[in-house]
Amino acid sequence: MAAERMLELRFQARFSEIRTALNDMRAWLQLCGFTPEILETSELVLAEVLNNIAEHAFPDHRPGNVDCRLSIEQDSVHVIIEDGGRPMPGGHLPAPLLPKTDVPTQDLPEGGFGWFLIFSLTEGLSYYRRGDRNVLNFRIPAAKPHA
Amino acid sequence: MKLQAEEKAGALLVTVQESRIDAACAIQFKDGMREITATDHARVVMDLSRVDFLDSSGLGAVVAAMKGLGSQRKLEIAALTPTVRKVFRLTRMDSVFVLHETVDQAFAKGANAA
Repeated sequence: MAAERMLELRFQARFSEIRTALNDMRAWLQLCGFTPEILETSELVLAEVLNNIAEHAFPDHRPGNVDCRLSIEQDSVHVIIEDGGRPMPGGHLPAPLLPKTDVPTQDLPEGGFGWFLIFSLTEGLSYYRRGDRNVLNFRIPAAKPHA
Repeated sequence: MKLQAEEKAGALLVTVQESRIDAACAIQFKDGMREITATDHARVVMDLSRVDFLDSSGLGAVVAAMKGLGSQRKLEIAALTPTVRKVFRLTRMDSVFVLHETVDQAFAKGANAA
């Protein structure tokens, strides 16, 4: 395998920088030999987590730094994401509930899908506070990258 | 946000000419859709064949676009790429929208769900 087994990125939690970071992470996972499906799943999960940080951990248009560390562990991509923003409401992860979709068109949800997608596509999701930082840990299950 | 509209078989066909509908452009997408669908077509078909990434903000924007059409008009979606299809399936939005495999199928005989 040509790529380093770990990728560390630091960037500001704003949408434009998140897009660039997603692109970099995808390129690295591709170098590591993961399938297109894993690249897509990873990009979606990382986008949901990082968008949440931009929207909720750093409100008021004052984005702080996010640190992402991706590493390959056996058959999965292990991800640790840290930020110095506000804690999760109640200090824990939200429940992975899907908003109701069997409702009249005008009542359809326009949000609230993010954590459901994150829970659906990851394993071992955990969140904790370390000092004044948020730490999120999870794995994206993947077929073993080819050598 | 590049959106292109044309009339096709009495319907409005909107082609999204971007590779992403994500948090960075969801608001522009909603605004663009509101402008481009300000017509009197009862049926609106959205071609998503060029969109290879849609996150939950993008999905919310597509839902908002449908709601913006009002109760008398329908939004149908054609040509989902695999990742975008996965987001629709996981969130069960595949049961909310009329989905077509391709744009041609959206306009095939009997496909008009309006």
